[in-house]
Amino acid sequence: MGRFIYLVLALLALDVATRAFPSPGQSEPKDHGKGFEAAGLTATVRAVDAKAGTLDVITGVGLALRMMRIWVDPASQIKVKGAAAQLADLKPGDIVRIGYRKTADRNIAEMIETLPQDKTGSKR
Amino acid sequence: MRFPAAPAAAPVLAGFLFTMACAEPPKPGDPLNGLTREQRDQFKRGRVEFERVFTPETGLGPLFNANACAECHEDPVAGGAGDEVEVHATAFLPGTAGCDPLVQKGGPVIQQAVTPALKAALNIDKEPLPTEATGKAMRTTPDLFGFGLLDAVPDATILAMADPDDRDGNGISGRPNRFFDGRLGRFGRKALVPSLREFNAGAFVVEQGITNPAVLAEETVGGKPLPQGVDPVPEPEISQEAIDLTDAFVRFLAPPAPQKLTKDAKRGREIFSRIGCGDCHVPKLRTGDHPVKALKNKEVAAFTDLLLHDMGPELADICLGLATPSEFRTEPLMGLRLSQRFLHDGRAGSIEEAIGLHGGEATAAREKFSALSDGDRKALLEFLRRQ
Repeated sequence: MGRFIYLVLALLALDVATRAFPSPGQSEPKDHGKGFEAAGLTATVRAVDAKAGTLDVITGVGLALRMMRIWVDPASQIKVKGAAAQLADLKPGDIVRIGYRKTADRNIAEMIETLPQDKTGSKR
Repeated sequence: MRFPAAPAAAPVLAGFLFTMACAEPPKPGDPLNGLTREQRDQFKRGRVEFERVFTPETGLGPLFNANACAECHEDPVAGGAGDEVEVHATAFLPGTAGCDPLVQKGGPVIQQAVTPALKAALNIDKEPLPTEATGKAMRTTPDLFGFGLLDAVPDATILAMADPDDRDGNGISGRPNRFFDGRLGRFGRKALVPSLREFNAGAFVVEQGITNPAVLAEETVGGKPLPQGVDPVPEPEISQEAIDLTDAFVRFLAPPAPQKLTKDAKRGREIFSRIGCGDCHVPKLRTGDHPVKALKNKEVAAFTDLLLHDMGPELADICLGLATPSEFRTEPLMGLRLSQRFLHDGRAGSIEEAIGLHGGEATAAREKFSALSDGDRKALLEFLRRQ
């Protein structure tokens, strides 16, 4: 009963309000999404094979994790902590940003750079 | 007597009175208060997608754990918990490669069911457990109520609660997990996944074998590609619209309102903080700026810091990301009264049993709980049973 009375009073008050202040239309923006890069990604190095010229990285969406193999050729630019480097300078556990181009059967790096790691000062 | 201010006060009064009339506490499965009409429509349509049952002809599998989101997340309603338990496996190699999620061997989610076509092709009933696994984890199905609010808590809020080296000397050293691109994680029992949208999109693939625009590739069978002909539906197996609607449903699920606290439960609330439970099960978080008004700047009675804590060797199972086998993300306690089993693998049949299994960083709080008088212990449990 109490709720009903509140509702009636609310409707009366709203009637007064709309006469005094006509409300403009309003729309909410759509919920934002979080997109994923094409021909580029940020991932964690899982394995480096300098001899074969390959870099295996872990990426994914949620718990749908995927391993990607990136091929490195002489034109690939590699940077570790901002300085020019070689493939062998990359280590498992490094977080890297990679720009690559896709061929029929390979992903070939155009650039690979390490990113700063989380600096939480963990003792582990 | 004239009241020239009456028209100006009327909208405020109207708003207040409507709030009193209409704002019922949400029940499990209800949407958040304050959604627009369009968002409520997305929520309803999203529930349909969430309950949609897939078959092999519509893309299920070939590897899967369930044929619908709601097959597991069903108790007491769609979006709730479930009695299904799934299997995860990784390899923990401390000091060398760290944690290997065994992606190349089918990990970390090891699907427990296959379609008839895959069974016929490989003569298997489930994905084989990788022989390289150093740990196997059982994972219960949590409820999803309020997860949109958890998603809307700013990273800075979570990081501000981290104290990995226990600089304040209270014995608690919560630390963040990070996804493979370095972003802060928060979803999953090991807090690996950064966002709700990604968790949902990934779950379609790992739980149902339903590829979508965010994840176009099926899971492998122990790292081996699928045999020809076992996956007849072309990728993606659902549309972006279906993903968006499912995401809206999950995102807009309201946390169940806590039940009114009795006098004992109020005392239990004070005890909860006093003995240190609230050091990890942080009672309230605040969301930040958000394009969805119902998620923006809201206080959430989440009872979690969304950080990893060492829970001791008895509970240890798998590593994942930066999380060692004994580290788990603090479980949100909102909606706790709806749970039937407790802890990450459902081993505890009661809240009291779950508290008794807290080790590691939680040892001190557990011991204080054990040392409480009967009356104080009951008061604390009464408080928790009303969440």
